[in-house]
Amino acid sequence: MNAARPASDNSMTERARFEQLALPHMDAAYNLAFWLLRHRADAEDAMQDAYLRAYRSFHDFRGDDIRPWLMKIVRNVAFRRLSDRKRARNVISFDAALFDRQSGEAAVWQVPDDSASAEEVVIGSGEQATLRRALSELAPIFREAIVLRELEAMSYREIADLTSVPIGTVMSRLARARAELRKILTRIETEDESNAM
Amino acid sequence: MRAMRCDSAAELIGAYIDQELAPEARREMAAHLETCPACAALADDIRHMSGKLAALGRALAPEDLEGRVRARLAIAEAEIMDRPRLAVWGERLAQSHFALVREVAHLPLSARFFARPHFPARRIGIKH
Repeated sequence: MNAARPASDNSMTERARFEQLALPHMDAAYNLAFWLLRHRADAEDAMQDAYLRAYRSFHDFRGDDIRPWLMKIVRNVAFRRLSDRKRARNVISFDAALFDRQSGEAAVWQVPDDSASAEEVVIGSGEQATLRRALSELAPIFREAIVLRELEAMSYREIADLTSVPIGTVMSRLARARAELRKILTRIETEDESNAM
Repeated sequence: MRAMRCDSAAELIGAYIDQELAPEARREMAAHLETCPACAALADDIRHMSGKLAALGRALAPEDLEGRVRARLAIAEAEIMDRPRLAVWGERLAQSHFALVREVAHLPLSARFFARPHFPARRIGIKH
């Protein structure tokens, strides 16, 4: 996981050095952004935003491995977008309630809705689609723990550093995330069985 | 070696499977799983679910995303080049100064946290 920093070439521009170090981690960064936001277009925007921020702060980067630093920026951008989305939904919900009273029509569809976004995650059918659906229903903080551990194979120490929490918190988040995930899977399977009957 | 109770085992089973427990806690958990069918079944469930999650693989970025990111970076680079060097360094100095002030402001809080006698990782026996 610790990619050695390539020998810096004095003739390279700062942008070229940044690209050389940061672009190879795009898959891991996108995976985190996608699972946090559960929406492809949002994840793509978040990635562009995060890479731009990282480039503008590249002079502050110290060390050999850019990945944890970059992932932290992606995470921050994604969580900020999640909270903006939540705030916008609250505002629209209020506006929509008002709008409803005046014309009888709802305007909530204008806001990216969590459940609608989650549908993008659940493409296809079968066991993997069920698992993706269950994962998408977890709260973001638990979804993040599962994605970092199970999909990115990060150690608890690496997750603790990335999320700025003690290692004990990582462990309890993962324990809760796994327990929640099992519950959701059981619920989905029960729903599917009753729908099939 | 202490006997482990099911309620504390439930919290630690995931860390045991992830090989993140300290040696003593790991031995306690292994002994508990030998004698507790309910916790052993839970461990099997978590192991099975972990395997399925890992098999999901990453969500793949669209092929053109790297090109779009490169284009944004090129624009940002051009903007930086266009600005007087002094302004760029001034901005960077201000950013670093802000980061320093923020770190100093958090120091008393961090010191109090780490000085707590029961730092969680130590109490539950996770690897450091």
